[in-house]
Amino acid sequence: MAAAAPGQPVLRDVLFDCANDAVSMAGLRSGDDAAVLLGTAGDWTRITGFWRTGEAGELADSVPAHLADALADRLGLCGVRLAFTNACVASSTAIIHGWRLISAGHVATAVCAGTYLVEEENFAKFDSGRAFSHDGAVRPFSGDRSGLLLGDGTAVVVLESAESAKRRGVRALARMTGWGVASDAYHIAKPHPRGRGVVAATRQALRRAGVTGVDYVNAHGTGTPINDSAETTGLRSVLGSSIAVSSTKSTTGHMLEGSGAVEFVISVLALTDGVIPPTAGFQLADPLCDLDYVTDGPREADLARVLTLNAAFGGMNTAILLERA
Amino acid sequence: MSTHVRAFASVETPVDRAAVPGFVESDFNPMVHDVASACLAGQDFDGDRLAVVLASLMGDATTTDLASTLLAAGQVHNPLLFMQATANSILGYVSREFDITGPLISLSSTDHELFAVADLVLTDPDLDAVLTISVELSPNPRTAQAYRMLGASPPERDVATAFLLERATEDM
Repeated sequence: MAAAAPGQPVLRDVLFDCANDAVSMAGLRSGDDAAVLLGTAGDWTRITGFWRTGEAGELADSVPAHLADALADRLGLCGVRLAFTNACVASSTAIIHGWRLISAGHVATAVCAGTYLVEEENFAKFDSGRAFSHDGAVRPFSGDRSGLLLGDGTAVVVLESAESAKRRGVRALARMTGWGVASDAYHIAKPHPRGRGVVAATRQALRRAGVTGVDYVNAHGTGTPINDSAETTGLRSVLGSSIAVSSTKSTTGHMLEGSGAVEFVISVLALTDGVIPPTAGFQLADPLCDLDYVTDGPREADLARVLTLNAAFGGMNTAILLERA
Repeated sequence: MSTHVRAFASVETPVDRAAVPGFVESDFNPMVHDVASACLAGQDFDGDRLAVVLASLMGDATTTDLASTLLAAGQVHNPLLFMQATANSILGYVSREFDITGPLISLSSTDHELFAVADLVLTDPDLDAVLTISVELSPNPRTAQAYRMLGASPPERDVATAFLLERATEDM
Protein backbone atom coordinates (compact mmCIF):
# COMPACT_ATOMS: atom_id res chain seq x y z
CA MET A 1 0.00 0.00 0.00
CA ALA A 2 1.20 3.51 -0.69
CA ALA A 3 -0.27 6.59 0.89
CA ALA A 4 -0.06 10.32 0.76
CA ALA A 5 -1.48 12.55 3.45
CA PRO A 6 -2.42 16.21 3.10
CA GLY A 7 -1.06 18.99 5.28
CA GLN A 8 1.98 18.21 7.37
CA PRO A 9 1.84 14.47 7.91
CA VAL A 10 3.90 12.81 10.62
CA LEU A 11 6.19 10.13 9.25
CA ARG A 12 5.29 7.61 11.96
CA ASP A 13 1.54 8.08 11.34
CA VAL A 14 1.83 7.66 7.57
CA LEU A 15 4.03 4.60 7.96
CA PHE A 16 1.75 2.96 10.51
CA ASP A 17 -1.38 3.65 8.43
CA CYS A 18 0.25 2.14 5.34
CA ALA A 19 1.44 -0.87 7.29
CA ASN A 20 -1.97 -1.47 8.85
CA ASP A 21 -3.55 -1.50 5.39
CA ALA A 22 -0.89 -3.79 3.95
CA VAL A 23 -0.93 -6.41 6.72
CA SER A 24 -4.72 -6.35 6.70
CA MET A 25 -4.74 -7.00 2.94
CA ALA A 26 -2.26 -9.83 3.46
CA GLY A 27 -4.30 -11.36 6.28
CA LEU A 28 -1.55 -11.11 8.89
CA ARG A 29 -2.52 -11.04 12.53
CA SER A 30 -0.99 -9.78 15.73
CA GLY A 31 1.28 -12.46 17.13
CA ASP A 32 2.35 -13.78 13.72
CA ASP A 33 6.01 -14.60 13.26
CA ALA A 34 6.81 -12.15 10.48
CA ALA A 35 9.89 -10.01 9.95
CA VAL A 36 9.57 -6.23 9.83
CA LEU A 37 12.19 -4.65 7.58
CA LEU A 38 12.14 -0.90 7.15
CA GLY A 39 14.08 1.40 4.87
CA THR A 40 14.34 4.77 6.60
CA ALA A 41 16.76 7.41 7.78
CA GLY A 42 14.46 8.18 10.71
CA ASP A 43 12.26 11.21 11.18
CA TRP A 44 14.56 14.18 10.57
CA THR A 45 11.93 16.69 11.64
CA ARG A 46 12.56 15.49 15.20
CA ILE A 47 16.24 16.40 14.89
CA THR A 48 15.52 19.86 13.51
CA GLY A 49 12.91 20.38 16.21
CA PHE A 50 15.35 19.42 18.95
CA TRP A 51 17.99 21.92 17.81
CA ARG A 52 15.41 24.66 17.26
CA THR A 53 13.58 24.36 20.55
CA GLY A 54 15.63 22.06 22.77
CA GLU A 55 12.52 19.97 23.34
CA ALA A 56 12.89 16.22 22.98
CA GLY A 57 9.26 15.42 22.08
CA GLU A 58 9.26 12.35 19.86
CA LEU A 59 13.04 12.48 19.38
CA ALA A 60 13.28 8.68 19.53
CA ASP A 61 11.68 8.62 16.07
CA SER A 62 14.91 10.14 14.73
CA VAL A 63 16.56 6.74 15.33
CA PRO A 64 15.77 4.39 12.42
CA ALA A 65 16.01 1.23 14.53
CA HIS A 66 13.42 2.63 16.91
CA LEU A 67 10.98 3.25 14.06
CA ALA A 68 11.34 -0.37 12.90
CA ASP A 69 10.78 -1.57 16.47
CA ALA A 70 7.79 0.69 16.95
CA LEU A 71 6.27 -0.48 13.66
CA ALA A 72 6.70 -4.14 14.57
CA ASP A 73 5.22 -3.49 18.03
CA ARG A 74 2.26 -1.65 16.52
CA LEU A 75 1.59 -4.55 14.15
CA GLY A 76 2.18 -7.10 16.91
CA LEU A 77 4.59 -9.07 14.74
CA CYS A 78 7.20 -11.23 16.44
CA GLY A 79 9.95 -11.77 13.86
CA VAL A 80 13.23 -9.96 13.37
CA ARG A 81 12.96 -6.21 12.95
CA LEU A 82 15.61 -4.21 11.14
CA ALA A 83 16.12 -0.69 9.82
CA PHE A 84 18.07 -0.32 6.59
CA THR A 85 19.67 3.09 6.22
CA ASN A 86 21.48 2.95 2.90
CA ALA A 87 19.67 5.96 1.45
CA CYS A 88 17.95 5.54 -1.91
CA VAL A 89 18.37 1.74 -1.93
CA ALA A 90 17.28 1.34 1.70
CA SER A 91 13.82 -0.06 1.06
CA SER A 92 14.79 -2.14 -1.97
CA THR A 93 17.56 -3.59 0.22
CA ALA A 94 14.93 -4.29 2.89
CA ILE A 95 12.78 -6.13 0.34
CA ILE A 96 15.75 -8.16 -0.87
CA HIS A 97 16.62 -9.00 2.73
CA GLY A 98 13.05 -10.18 3.21
CA TRP A 99 13.55 -12.52 0.27
CA ARG A 100 16.75 -13.79 1.92
CA LEU A 101 15.02 -14.44 5.25
CA ILE A 102 12.15 -16.29 3.58
CA SER A 103 14.42 -18.23 1.25
CA ALA A 104 16.58 -19.36 4.20
CA GLY A 105 13.48 -20.51 6.06
CA HIS A 106 13.89 -18.03 8.92
CA VAL A 107 10.37 -16.69 8.41
CA ALA A 108 7.50 -17.37 6.03
CA THR A 109 6.48 -13.74 5.80
CA ALA A 110 8.30 -10.41 5.76
CA VAL A 111 6.69 -6.99 6.01
CA CYS A 112 9.03 -4.73 4.01
CA ALA A 113 8.57 -0.99 4.04
CA GLY A 114 10.16 2.23 2.98
CA THR A 115 9.35 5.75 4.02
CA TYR A 116 10.42 9.31 3.43
CA LEU A 117 8.51 12.55 3.81
CA VAL A 118 10.00 15.78 2.51
CA GLU A 119 11.59 17.87 5.27
CA GLU A 120 13.92 20.82 5.38
CA GLU A 121 17.10 19.00 6.48
CA ASN A 122 17.46 16.95 3.33
CA PHE A 123 15.97 19.70 1.21
CA ALA A 124 18.80 21.98 2.34
CA LYS A 125 21.42 19.30 1.71
CA PHE A 126 20.25 18.54 -1.83
CA ASP A 127 20.01 22.27 -2.46
CA SER A 128 23.58 22.83 -1.30
CA GLY A 129 24.66 19.97 -3.55
CA ARG A 130 22.90 21.69 -6.50
CA ALA A 131 20.98 18.51 -7.18
CA PHE A 132 17.56 20.05 -7.76
CA SER A 133 15.85 20.60 -11.09
CA HIS A 134 16.36 24.13 -12.40
CA ASP A 135 12.87 24.48 -13.89
CA GLY A 136 10.69 22.88 -11.24
CA ALA A 137 10.07 19.68 -13.19
CA VAL A 138 11.73 16.28 -13.14
CA ARG A 139 12.50 15.29 -16.74
CA PRO A 140 14.16 11.85 -16.64
CA PHE A 141 16.06 10.88 -19.78
CA SER A 142 15.12 14.16 -21.50
CA GLY A 143 17.88 16.18 -23.12
CA ASP A 144 16.94 19.19 -21.00
CA ARG A 145 16.86 17.37 -17.66
CA SER A 146 18.54 19.35 -14.92
CA GLY A 147 17.98 17.51 -11.65
CA LEU A 148 15.60 15.91 -9.22
CA LEU A 149 12.84 17.01 -6.90
CA LEU A 150 12.05 15.38 -3.57
CA GLY A 151 8.67 13.75 -2.97
CA ASP A 152 6.74 12.13 -0.14
CA GLY A 153 6.52 8.37 -0.39
CA THR A 154 5.73 5.47 1.86
CA ALA A 155 4.92 1.93 0.85
CA VAL A 156 4.63 -1.39 2.62
CA VAL A 157 5.02 -4.70 0.82
CA VAL A 158 4.22 -8.08 2.34
CA LEU A 159 6.38 -10.91 1.00
CA GLU A 160 5.32 -14.46 1.66
CA SER A 161 6.79 -17.79 0.64
CA ALA A 162 4.88 -19.57 -2.11
CA GLU A 163 4.37 -22.53 0.20
CA SER A 164 2.86 -20.38 2.95
CA ALA A 165 0.58 -18.56 0.53
CA LYS A 166 -0.60 -21.88 -0.91
CA ARG A 167 -1.18 -23.27 2.58
CA ARG A 168 -3.25 -20.23 3.54
CA GLY A 169 -5.12 -20.31 0.25
CA VAL A 170 -4.23 -16.73 -0.65
CA ARG A 171 -3.43 -15.47 -4.13
CA ALA A 172 -0.30 -13.42 -4.62
CA LEU A 173 -0.40 -10.08 -6.41
CA ALA A 174 2.91 -10.89 -8.09
CA ARG A 175 5.91 -13.18 -7.74
CA MET A 176 9.37 -11.88 -6.87
CA THR A 177 11.61 -14.22 -8.81
CA GLY A 178 14.95 -12.47 -8.95
CA TRP A 179 17.08 -9.77 -7.43
CA GLY A 180 20.56 -8.37 -7.66
CA VAL A 181 22.76 -6.13 -5.55
CA ALA A 182 26.03 -4.66 -6.78
CA SER A 183 28.29 -1.69 -6.29
CA ASP A 184 30.06 0.55 -8.76
CA ALA A 185 33.38 0.88 -6.86
CA TYR A 186 33.67 4.23 -8.62
CA HIS A 187 32.70 7.36 -6.63
CA ILE A 188 31.04 8.39 -3.37
CA ALA A 189 28.25 10.32 -5.10
CA LYS A 190 28.38 9.76 -8.88
CA PRO A 191 27.26 6.63 -10.71
CA HIS A 192 29.70 4.70 -12.84
CA PRO A 193 29.37 6.26 -16.33
CA ARG A 194 28.82 2.88 -17.98
CA GLY A 195 26.49 1.65 -15.25
CA ARG A 196 28.82 -1.02 -13.89
CA GLY A 197 26.64 -1.73 -10.85
CA VAL A 198 23.38 -1.50 -12.81
CA VAL A 199 24.70 -4.11 -15.23
CA ALA A 200 25.85 -6.47 -12.48
CA ALA A 201 22.64 -6.14 -10.41
CA THR A 202 20.43 -6.62 -13.48
CA ARG A 203 22.36 -9.69 -14.61
CA GLN A 204 22.08 -11.20 -11.12
CA ALA A 205 18.32 -10.63 -11.10
CA LEU A 206 17.88 -12.21 -14.54
CA ARG A 207 20.04 -15.18 -13.58
CA ARG A 208 18.19 -15.80 -10.31
CA ALA A 209 14.86 -15.67 -12.15
CA GLY A 210 16.19 -17.95 -14.89
CA VAL A 211 15.18 -15.56 -17.66
CA THR A 212 17.02 -13.53 -20.28
CA GLY A 213 14.81 -10.48 -20.53
CA VAL A 214 11.92 -8.45 -19.12
CA ASP A 215 9.02 -6.53 -20.66
CA TYR A 216 9.42 -3.26 -18.78
CA VAL A 217 11.97 -1.56 -16.53
CA ASN A 218 10.92 0.87 -13.80
CA ALA A 219 14.19 2.78 -13.81
CA HIS A 220 15.85 4.68 -10.99
CA GLY A 221 15.66 7.66 -13.40
CA THR A 222 16.33 10.59 -11.09
CA GLY A 223 16.37 13.20 -13.83
CA THR A 224 19.97 14.19 -13.11
CA PRO A 225 22.22 14.39 -16.15
CA ILE A 226 24.72 11.78 -14.96
CA ASN A 227 22.32 9.21 -13.50
CA ASP A 228 20.10 8.84 -16.53
CA SER A 229 22.86 8.44 -19.11
CA ALA A 230 24.74 5.93 -16.93
CA GLU A 231 21.59 3.92 -16.24
CA THR A 232 20.72 3.94 -19.94
CA THR A 233 24.17 2.69 -20.89
CA GLY A 234 23.97 -0.12 -18.37
CA LEU A 235 20.45 -1.16 -19.34
CA ARG A 236 21.22 -1.09 -23.05
CA SER A 237 24.19 -3.39 -22.58
CA VAL A 238 22.08 -6.02 -20.79
CA LEU A 239 18.58 -5.66 -22.23
CA GLY A 240 19.11 -4.02 -25.62
CA SER A 241 17.93 -0.68 -26.95
CA SER A 242 14.27 -1.58 -27.55
CA ILE A 243 13.44 -2.24 -23.88
CA ALA A 244 10.48 -0.24 -22.54
CA VAL A 245 11.67 1.97 -19.67
CA SER A 246 10.07 4.67 -17.58
CA SER A 247 10.92 6.71 -14.54
CA THR A 248 7.97 7.24 -12.23
CA LYS A 249 10.06 9.71 -10.24
CA SER A 250 8.93 12.08 -12.96
CA THR A 251 5.55 12.12 -11.19
CA THR A 252 6.33 11.06 -7.62
CA GLY A 253 9.57 12.93 -7.11
CA HIS A 254 12.53 11.24 -5.46
CA MET A 255 11.37 9.58 -2.25
CA LEU A 256 14.87 8.65 -1.03
CA GLU A 257 14.52 5.77 1.46
CA GLY A 258 10.92 5.25 0.33
CA SER A 259 11.75 4.95 -3.37
CA GLY A 260 12.45 1.23 -3.59
CA ALA A 261 9.24 0.19 -1.83
CA VAL A 262 7.00 2.67 -3.67
CA GLU A 263 8.47 1.72 -7.04
CA PHE A 264 8.07 -1.97 -6.16
CA VAL A 265 4.35 -1.26 -5.68
CA ILE A 266 4.19 0.69 -8.95
CA SER A 267 5.85 -2.24 -10.71
CA VAL A 268 3.33 -4.68 -9.23
CA LEU A 269 0.51 -2.41 -10.45
CA ALA A 270 2.06 -2.30 -13.92
CA LEU A 271 2.01 -6.10 -13.97
CA THR A 272 -1.51 -6.49 -12.61
CA ASP A 273 -3.05 -3.69 -14.70
CA GLY A 274 -1.09 -4.33 -17.89
CA VAL A 275 -0.13 -0.69 -18.10
CA ILE A 276 3.33 0.86 -18.26
CA PRO A 277 3.37 4.14 -16.31
CA PRO A 278 4.86 6.97 -18.34
CA THR A 279 7.91 9.17 -18.00
CA ALA A 280 6.39 12.60 -17.52
CA GLY A 281 8.14 15.81 -18.49
CA PHE A 282 10.12 14.34 -21.36
CA GLN A 283 10.69 17.10 -23.93
CA LEU A 284 13.88 16.55 -25.83
CA ALA A 285 15.83 13.55 -27.10
CA ASP A 286 19.32 13.04 -25.71
CA PRO A 287 21.80 11.03 -27.79
CA LEU A 288 23.09 9.52 -24.54
CA CYS A 289 19.60 8.29 -23.63
CA ASP A 290 18.30 6.14 -26.45
CA LEU A 291 15.88 3.58 -24.99
CA ASP A 292 12.07 3.39 -25.31
CA TYR A 293 11.14 5.71 -22.44
CA VAL A 294 7.30 5.57 -22.74
CA THR A 295 6.88 9.34 -22.88
CA ASP A 296 3.43 9.74 -24.45
CA GLY A 297 1.26 8.72 -21.52
CA PRO A 298 0.43 5.33 -20.03
CA ARG A 299 0.93 2.44 -22.45
CA GLU A 300 -1.11 -0.75 -22.38
CA ALA A 301 1.12 -3.77 -22.59
CA ASP A 302 0.93 -7.49 -21.89
CA LEU A 303 3.54 -7.56 -19.15
CA ALA A 304 4.84 -10.86 -17.81
CA ARG A 305 8.05 -9.59 -16.20
CA VAL A 306 9.04 -6.23 -14.78
CA LEU A 307 12.38 -5.09 -13.41
CA THR A 308 12.61 -2.29 -10.86
CA LEU A 309 15.96 -0.58 -10.35
CA ASN A 310 17.30 1.68 -7.63
CA ALA A 311 20.65 3.30 -7.01
CA ALA A 312 22.18 5.35 -4.24
CA PHE A 313 25.15 7.35 -3.03
CA GLY A 314 28.25 5.24 -2.69
CA GLY A 315 27.54 3.51 -6.01
CA MET A 316 24.99 1.08 -4.59
CA ASN A 317 22.57 -0.59 -7.01
CA THR A 318 19.62 -2.95 -6.59
CA ALA A 319 17.47 -4.76 -9.13
CA ILE A 320 14.27 -6.65 -8.33
CA LEU A 321 12.50 -8.81 -10.91
CA LEU A 322 8.75 -9.33 -10.56
CA GLU A 323 6.57 -11.72 -12.54
CA ARG A 324 2.86 -11.97 -13.00
CA ALA A 325 1.31 -14.30 -10.40
CA MET B 1 27.21 -23.11 7.32
CA SER B 2 30.08 -21.93 9.50
CA THR B 3 32.19 -18.82 9.25
CA HIS B 4 35.61 -17.90 10.46
CA VAL B 5 37.28 -14.60 11.16
CA ARG B 6 39.97 -13.75 8.63
CA ALA B 7 40.82 -10.32 10.01
CA PHE B 8 39.79 -8.03 12.84
CA ALA B 9 40.36 -4.37 13.65
CA SER B 10 39.14 -1.93 16.26
CA VAL B 11 39.75 1.72 16.96
CA GLU B 12 38.68 4.13 19.66
CA THR B 13 39.12 7.85 19.90
CA PRO B 14 41.23 9.69 20.62
CA VAL B 15 43.82 8.22 18.27
CA ASP B 16 46.17 9.66 15.70
CA ARG B 17 44.32 8.59 12.59
CA ALA B 18 44.85 9.47 8.94
CA ALA B 19 42.27 11.86 7.52
CA VAL B 20 40.11 10.70 4.63
CA PRO B 21 40.00 13.30 1.84
CA GLY B 22 36.59 14.95 1.59
CA PHE B 23 35.34 13.62 4.91
CA VAL B 24 35.53 16.47 7.37
CA GLU B 25 34.04 17.42 10.71
CA SER B 26 33.19 13.94 12.00
CA ASP B 27 35.28 10.99 13.23
CA PHE B 28 32.63 8.57 11.96
CA ASN B 29 33.88 8.21 8.40
CA PRO B 30 37.64 8.12 9.11
CA MET B 31 37.01 5.46 11.75
CA VAL B 32 35.05 3.35 9.27
CA HIS B 33 37.83 3.75 6.74
CA ASP B 34 40.46 2.93 9.34
CA VAL B 35 39.00 -0.41 10.46
CA ALA B 36 37.91 -1.42 6.95
CA SER B 37 41.38 -0.75 5.57
CA ALA B 38 43.04 -2.61 8.42
CA CYS B 39 40.94 -5.69 7.62
CA LEU B 40 41.22 -5.54 3.83
CA ALA B 41 44.75 -4.30 3.14
CA GLY B 42 47.00 -7.09 1.93
CA GLN B 43 44.16 -9.59 1.80
CA ASP B 44 43.53 -11.64 -1.32
CA PHE B 45 39.84 -11.46 -2.21
CA ASP B 46 37.54 -11.07 -5.19
CA GLY B 47 35.81 -7.69 -4.93
CA ASP B 48 32.65 -8.99 -6.55
CA ARG B 49 32.42 -11.79 -3.99
CA LEU B 50 32.75 -9.55 -0.93
CA ALA B 51 29.85 -7.83 0.86
CA VAL B 52 30.11 -5.03 3.40
CA VAL B 53 27.55 -4.62 6.19
CA LEU B 54 27.79 -1.53 8.40
CA ALA B 55 25.78 -1.08 11.58
CA SER B 56 25.36 2.01 13.68
CA LEU B 57 22.41 2.68 15.95
CA MET B 58 22.73 6.46 15.79
CA GLY B 59 24.76 6.85 12.60
CA ASP B 60 27.03 9.81 11.96
CA ALA B 61 25.38 12.10 14.50
CA THR B 62 28.24 14.60 14.36
CA THR B 63 27.57 15.38 10.69
CA THR B 64 23.80 15.11 11.07
CA ASP B 65 23.64 17.47 14.01
CA LEU B 66 26.14 19.92 12.56
CA ALA B 67 23.91 20.26 9.51
CA SER B 68 20.84 20.53 11.71
CA THR B 69 22.30 23.23 13.94
CA LEU B 70 23.32 25.20 10.83
CA LEU B 71 19.77 24.90 9.57
CA ALA B 72 18.31 25.94 12.92
CA ALA B 73 20.62 28.96 12.88
CA GLY B 74 19.45 29.93 9.40
CA GLN B 75 22.84 29.32 7.81
CA VAL B 76 23.55 27.91 4.36
CA HIS B 77 24.58 24.27 4.23
CA ASN B 78 28.08 23.21 3.36
CA PRO B 79 27.91 20.99 0.22
CA LEU B 80 30.40 18.63 1.85
CA LEU B 81 27.72 17.81 4.40
CA PHE B 82 25.50 16.74 1.49
CA MET B 83 28.20 14.38 0.29
CA GLN B 84 28.58 12.92 3.79
CA ALA B 85 24.89 12.82 4.66
CA THR B 86 24.81 9.03 4.56
CA ALA B 87 27.19 6.23 5.51
CA ASN B 88 26.84 5.14 1.89
CA SER B 89 29.48 7.72 1.02
CA ILE B 90 32.30 6.25 3.10
CA LEU B 91 31.28 2.75 2.02
CA GLY B 92 31.51 3.96 -1.56
CA TYR B 93 34.94 5.39 -0.83
CA VAL B 94 36.12 2.08 0.65
CA SER B 95 34.57 0.11 -2.22
CA ARG B 96 36.45 2.21 -4.74
CA GLU B 97 39.75 1.86 -2.88
CA PHE B 98 39.47 -1.93 -2.69
CA ASP B 99 37.41 -2.49 -5.87
CA ILE B 100 34.51 -4.02 -3.96
CA THR B 101 31.53 -4.53 -6.27
CA GLY B 102 29.48 -6.80 -4.01
CA PRO B 103 26.56 -5.65 -1.83
CA LEU B 104 27.03 -2.66 0.50
CA ILE B 105 24.44 -2.60 3.28
CA SER B 106 23.99 -0.22 6.18
CA LEU B 107 21.76 -0.68 9.19
CA SER B 108 20.63 1.16 12.26
CA SER B 109 21.11 -1.68 14.70
CA THR B 110 23.09 -3.34 17.43
CA ASP B 111 26.07 -5.68 16.93
CA HIS B 112 23.89 -8.75 17.52
CA GLU B 113 21.71 -7.87 14.54
CA LEU B 114 24.76 -6.98 12.45
CA PHE B 115 26.20 -10.49 12.74
CA ALA B 116 22.83 -12.11 12.09
CA VAL B 117 22.52 -10.09 8.88
CA ALA B 118 26.11 -10.87 7.90
CA ASP B 119 25.54 -14.59 8.42
CA LEU B 120 22.47 -14.51 6.22
CA VAL B 121 24.17 -12.45 3.51
CA LEU B 122 27.01 -14.96 3.49
CA THR B 123 24.63 -17.80 2.63
CA ASP B 124 24.57 -16.31 -0.88
CA PRO B 125 26.69 -18.64 -3.04
CA ASP B 126 27.80 -15.59 -5.06
CA LEU B 127 29.75 -14.37 -2.01
CA ASP B 128 32.85 -15.67 -0.23
CA ALA B 129 33.24 -13.11 2.53
CA VAL B 130 31.57 -10.25 4.33
CA LEU B 131 33.19 -7.30 6.07
CA THR B 132 31.18 -6.22 9.11
CA ILE B 133 31.69 -2.76 10.51
CA SER B 134 30.10 -1.44 13.67
CA VAL B 135 30.61 2.19 14.54
CA GLU B 136 29.15 4.37 17.25
CA LEU B 137 30.02 7.88 18.33
CA SER B 138 30.00 9.12 21.90
CA PRO B 139 26.78 11.01 22.52
CA ASN B 140 26.07 14.64 21.82
CA PRO B 141 23.13 16.37 23.52
CA ARG B 142 20.64 15.12 20.94
CA THR B 143 21.78 11.49 20.85
CA ALA B 144 22.21 11.43 24.64
CA GLN B 145 18.55 12.33 24.93
CA ALA B 146 17.64 9.72 22.31
CA TYR B 147 19.62 7.04 24.16
CA ARG B 148 17.73 7.93 27.35
CA MET B 149 14.40 7.66 25.56
CA LEU B 150 15.36 4.27 24.12
CA GLY B 151 16.60 3.04 27.49
CA ALA B 152 19.97 2.27 25.91
CA SER B 153 23.49 2.99 27.08
CA PRO B 154 25.62 5.22 24.89
CA PRO B 155 29.28 4.41 24.26
CA GLU B 156 31.72 6.32 26.45
CA ARG B 157 33.92 7.14 23.46
CA ASP B 158 33.86 6.86 19.69
CA VAL B 159 34.45 3.26 18.70
CA ALA B 160 34.57 1.30 15.44
CA THR B 161 35.17 -2.41 14.97
CA ALA B 162 35.43 -4.53 11.84
CA PHE B 163 35.56 -8.25 11.16
CA LEU B 164 36.34 -9.84 7.83
CA LEU B 165 34.31 -13.02 7.94
CA GLU B 166 34.43 -15.78 5.38
CA ARG B 167 32.64 -19.01 4.81
CA ALA B 168 34.63 -21.86 6.26
CA THR B 169 36.52 -23.88 3.64
CA GLU B 170 34.44 -27.02 4.15
CA ASP B 171 31.36 -25.01 3.17
CA MET B 172 32.83 -23.61 -0.07
